[in-house]
Amino acid sequence: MTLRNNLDEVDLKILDIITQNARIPFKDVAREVGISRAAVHQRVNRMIELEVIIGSGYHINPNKVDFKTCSYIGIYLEKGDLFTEVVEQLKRIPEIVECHYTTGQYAIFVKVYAKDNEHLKNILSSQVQKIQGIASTETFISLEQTFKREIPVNS
Amino acid sequence: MNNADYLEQPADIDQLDEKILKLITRNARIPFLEVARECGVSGAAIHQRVQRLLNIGVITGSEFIVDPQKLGYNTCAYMGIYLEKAKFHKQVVAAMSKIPEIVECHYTTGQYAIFIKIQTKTNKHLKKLIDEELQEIEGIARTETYMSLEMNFKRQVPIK
Repeated sequence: MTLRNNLDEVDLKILDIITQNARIPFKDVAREVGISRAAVHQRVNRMIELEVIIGSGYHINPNKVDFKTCSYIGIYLEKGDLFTEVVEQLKRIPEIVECHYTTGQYAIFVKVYAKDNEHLKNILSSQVQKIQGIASTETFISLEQTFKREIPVNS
Repeated sequence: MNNADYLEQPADIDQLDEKILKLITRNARIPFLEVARECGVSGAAIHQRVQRLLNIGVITGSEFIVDPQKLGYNTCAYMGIYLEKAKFHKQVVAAMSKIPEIVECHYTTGQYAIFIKIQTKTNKHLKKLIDEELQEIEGIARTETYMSLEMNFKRQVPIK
């Protein structure tokens, strides 16, 4: 096991547990890892300070809160240097949940959750394509998210 | 799909549920008493509501969010996959779910049959994964890779 950012085996074990269940009592984590509860607190706080941990949250099933259309959109820019402004504008559209700067044919690649296809169409035509600097877009609709999980912490 | 979830209706949730969701999706370790205070109901009511949201599958779990780069996962890529024949879809997905570095997998419209997200430690690691694991899967014709040079943001779906 290599040390990454001065994380040791115990840190990784803790991460492995709390990335799967954020509300697990720290005393249960302590028992599993074999250190004291205070030590777990200390280590978690340290990992927050190091920004290894950047937040916590409950997973929502988008389908159940009525977001039924999941899609990926590849974006072509008119000019590469418009990137920063375009990302700023994209950030204002709450339905865009992820945004990447990519290699390959697209300049920007985003993930969008919309209520239905019509909502997606509205997001595309009256929001995304109105952004200055975007030349064109290509949309891939996900018919099914077959799986989604976290990176393997302990490897 | 062997269940009828294509008929699935949105869950029956009210404004209080939405308020609770808003708070706990931002911070999973927020004390339920604090949520209760903010919503103006009792702590027991919050417990009950969260349990119900879990039971009906609106929330599917909780997590601490880690920065993949800090754990040494420096390469993030999206990959579009072409199949030799469409009917290979099931077996290919089954084989891919055994590769832990593949963190997301979708059945998509458009040019690709399958679309996945991969997180690896280095570019070399990605190459090795493509070479030795992905291309070995029977049924995959070819793949197209988009590397993410930077993730600009990532967040949950908006709750009204």
